[in-house]
Amino acid sequence: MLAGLFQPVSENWEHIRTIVLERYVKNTLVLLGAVGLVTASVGTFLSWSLTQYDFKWNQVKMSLLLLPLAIPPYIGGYVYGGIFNYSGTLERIFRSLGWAPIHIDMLSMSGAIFVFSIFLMPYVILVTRGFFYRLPASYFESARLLGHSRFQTFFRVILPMSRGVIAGGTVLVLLEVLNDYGLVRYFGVPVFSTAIYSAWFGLGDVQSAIRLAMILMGIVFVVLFTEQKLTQSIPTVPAKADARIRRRNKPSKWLWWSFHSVYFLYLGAGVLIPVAQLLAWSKMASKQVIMRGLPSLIGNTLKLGLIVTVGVILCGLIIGNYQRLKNNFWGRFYSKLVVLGYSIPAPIIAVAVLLFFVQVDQSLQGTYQWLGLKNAFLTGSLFLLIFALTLRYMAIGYNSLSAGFNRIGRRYYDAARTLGASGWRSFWHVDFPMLKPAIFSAILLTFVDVLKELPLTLILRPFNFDTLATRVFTYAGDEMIHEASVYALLIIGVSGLALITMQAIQKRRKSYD
Amino acid sequence: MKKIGITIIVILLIVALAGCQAQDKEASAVVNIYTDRHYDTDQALYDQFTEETGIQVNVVKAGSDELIERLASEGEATEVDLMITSDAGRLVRAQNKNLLQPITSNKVKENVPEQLREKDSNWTALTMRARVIVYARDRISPDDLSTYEALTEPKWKGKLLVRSASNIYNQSLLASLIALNGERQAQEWAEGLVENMARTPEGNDRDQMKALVAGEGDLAIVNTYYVGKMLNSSDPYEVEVAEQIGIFFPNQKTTGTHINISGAGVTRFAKHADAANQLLEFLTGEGAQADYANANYEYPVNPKVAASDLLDSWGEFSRQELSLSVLGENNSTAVKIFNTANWQ
Repeated sequence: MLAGLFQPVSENWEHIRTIVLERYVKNTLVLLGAVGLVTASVGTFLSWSLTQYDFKWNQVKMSLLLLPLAIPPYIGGYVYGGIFNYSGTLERIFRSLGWAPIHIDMLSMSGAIFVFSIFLMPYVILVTRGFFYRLPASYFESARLLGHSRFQTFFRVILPMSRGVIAGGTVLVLLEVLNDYGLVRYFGVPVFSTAIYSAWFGLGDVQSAIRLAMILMGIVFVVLFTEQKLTQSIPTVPAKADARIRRRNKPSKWLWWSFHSVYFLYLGAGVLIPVAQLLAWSKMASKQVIMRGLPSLIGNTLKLGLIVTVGVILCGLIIGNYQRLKNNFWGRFYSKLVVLGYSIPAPIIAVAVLLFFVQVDQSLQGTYQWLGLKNAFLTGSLFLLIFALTLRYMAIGYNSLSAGFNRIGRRYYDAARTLGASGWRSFWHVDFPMLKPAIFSAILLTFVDVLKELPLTLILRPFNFDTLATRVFTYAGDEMIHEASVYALLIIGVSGLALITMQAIQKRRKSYD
Repeated sequence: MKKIGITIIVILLIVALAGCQAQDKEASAVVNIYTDRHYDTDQALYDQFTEETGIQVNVVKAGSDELIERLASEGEATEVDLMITSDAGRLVRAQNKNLLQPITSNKVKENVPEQLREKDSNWTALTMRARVIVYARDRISPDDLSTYEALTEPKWKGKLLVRSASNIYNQSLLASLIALNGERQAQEWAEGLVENMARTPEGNDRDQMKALVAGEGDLAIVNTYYVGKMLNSSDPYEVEVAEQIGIFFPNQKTTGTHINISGAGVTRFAKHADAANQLLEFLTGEGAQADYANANYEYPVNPKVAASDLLDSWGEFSRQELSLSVLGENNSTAVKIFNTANWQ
């Protein structure tokens, strides 16, 4: 890929640079800025309120907050497009009430900001809540003793301390936004990924597409670097198992009302409305949809999700542990590389993985013949897809794991080694139990993300291999949103179940994160 | 670092092997397809083909651009025999990348007229779509309409609805206009159209028609089969919208209405080229062609097969007589023109 950068500039590149680049970069920055601001502020507000104040049913309320994650933004986009469209649901409701219909242009920049924010906000909540929950009581007590109000305590003490965590969650959101192509295309909002696809597929110019992807990676690198800088100056929070955790306060009336209005508005927009709309559509399409091979569809989806999640967690643990113990240049380099990889558009990853395995297959041809396997054994198998997905979702899983590693540091490990335990034993008996919350959220994020994943699965899947997400694509891509909604509901159902199950397991352990 | 790398690879291998079982039931006769057509009706046709011939049909469905990239990357190792796309331009791209081989079956050549095949039969059309002007019947008379070119007239300022330039159907329409009128006029046309747009392009073809009926604009450019699909939608409101829409075939007195095809080509390194040819014979044959036309509201390419009653009710039309290869050759110029004209 790097080699492509040093090729002479093509005529297409000049065209892209002079005509489309500025516009698209501007759109991208607006989109990223707005989505980042909304998700960071609202997400932090919700997660802070729920971890610090007693609203009754806090655990249940927290679990429900994660549900919007089960709805992929592209499906959310179709749903909100369908609601606010001409002759869409909103207009029908107005008409049936005898009111003059109002029209809100959902398929626009502000619409895209709205949809992305709604469906990606749980990332921020998921990442911050563990941190907030584990904040020791002593910080509050000191701040209050020194005369700060609760409000001041939050803004002067807690916020500066947690900005790294909030940034970490927001970065996940922004990476997802950068990666999206389906939603921005349907909404008609040309962004950076549009430029890459247009260069590659529209102009048939791979060089320019790669060049654009490299610029994108540059931007992401700057973002990550800033995030790291933000995180570095943070006072370390002790993760002592016995630290006194603060008891939840009673919320003031004002907070009670503002929290509940934001909370229920969000749940309505992020879960109730889209699910209701999808249900209505599926009911309409129920006669037309052929539920061919449903068990194998769900089986494939789960299989892919599970295998990739296991792969990501294992690799993430190994790399995270290595980075913690060695903390050298390569460790840091690799940990950033993993996240950077997530910003490369999926088709480029797909082709890179394909080319690699075509070569592997070629060099292994002798072995295949000896084993009696067909020639393109790896290229034609599910392995390719699993490999690519693992590579890609390392970013999501690893981000969560490395936060866990950072929190515990190597003190306990060193102590265990000093006391004579082997490296493996120290890790397994000392570090691992402390890492569990981080592993849980890594599993959750990766699994749900793989369930929703589209571009890689679409390109790299073997013959006759369908998942719920690819079914949604085949219908939605054909403007058959009613038919697609049946499968979209299934995705939401499966990931919702996964979220609830994980939540239940964690509840038993009486810890957040 | 090395140790980690090896460990990762070993773990991945184990994980992968677990996932690779139950694949590869080698049937005696198979044909493997990459397709950009996702309709349930297509699958029904493949099933029928398997039943008739005993040849198993394996499918990967994705966007045609991505599939062409996959095919190109796989090179000689590819397992794919047939590439099906929903646009002529993409077939040309596959051909230019040297990914296709000529269709050998004479029956296919009998079934499909020459204009709808590549000159050396590197690919053939399977179905045909017309990209037409639709209008709000309560406000606009078809007498006011004439050609694609006339859409840039000032009287349509703020009246025109069309989807974004990233859409291949728009790119192919512009590619055809480049071939017919030259690059400069095509550029002026795109700019004129942007001038007349009722809103920044958004949504898909169905959304354009909904906005049209709601009064946001008076005219829209859409593919015919979406009108058919909306008329037969499971959503009563979509039917209501489609019933208020009139279809106009532009350029009838001049260059003809722009058509595009979905089509197929046998891949260069096909391992089952004969089976692929056989499938093409089946798909261009009378039975399958009638199914395409009836179930999916597309025009059949086999002249022996009549279009469905619905399509007939829209009337006959004369089509652009360009070689469809032109759509592919002019594609990147079209994309550039769209960019320069700021057609988002």
